[in-house]
Amino acid sequence: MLKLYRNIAAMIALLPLPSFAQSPAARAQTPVPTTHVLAIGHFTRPLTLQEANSILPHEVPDTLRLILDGKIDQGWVRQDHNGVVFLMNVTTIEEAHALLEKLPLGQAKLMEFDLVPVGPLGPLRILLTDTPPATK
Amino acid sequence: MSASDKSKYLAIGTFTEGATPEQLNPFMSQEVPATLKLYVDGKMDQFWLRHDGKGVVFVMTTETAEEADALLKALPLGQADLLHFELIPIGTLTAFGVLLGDKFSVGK
Repeated sequence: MLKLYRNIAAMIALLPLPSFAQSPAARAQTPVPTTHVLAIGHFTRPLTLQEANSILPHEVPDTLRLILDGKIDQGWVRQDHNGVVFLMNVTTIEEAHALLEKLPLGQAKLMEFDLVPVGPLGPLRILLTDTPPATK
Repeated sequence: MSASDKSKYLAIGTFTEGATPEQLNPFMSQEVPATLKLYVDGKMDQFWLRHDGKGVVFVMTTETAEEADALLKALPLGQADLLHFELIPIGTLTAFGVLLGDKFSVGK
């Protein structure tokens, strides 16, 4: 009889529980989707004045085109003069890389990007205490 | 203080190498509300989880880099030496001024 109870307990433990019933640690670790790729750019070397004058007038409109195409969500210049940072509306580093290497500074091998896929801050889930709509 | 007196910082957070979920988890019930408080207080604009599981990325809006650094180090995981941040100062893409006829100026 004891063995039967143990088996039932083991089976219950294996049942999938709704997220609100999980421990905070389990909820914090629930996977989240990748929604953007953060592209942190740096110049491979300082630009000469001639390079700046010949490349940058094309870099800006091409960057604006990526914004208008919905591929760049947000952009900032690095105040340390090392480059730019883009939040891209893509979910793979491959697509981000393909788009960025087509920019004039990328083609000239003067700008390289560290690509960091990111998603919603999943651990915020531990602050949810109500029942998810799907289970109401 | 006006918004123009504030600066933005990209804060790239990385868990201490070798940190295990068993080490990190006990802090989450304190870390998460403390992080959201920075957003509610207007010190943090945006926040993401890194897909590689190595940490988080925030956009901080503070008066100085020192203020951003102090706020992040005061988070429970920062105090426990389990999460470290690299701060990159960021600002408006002023080069877009060229579309308005501005001349380019090469930085330093």
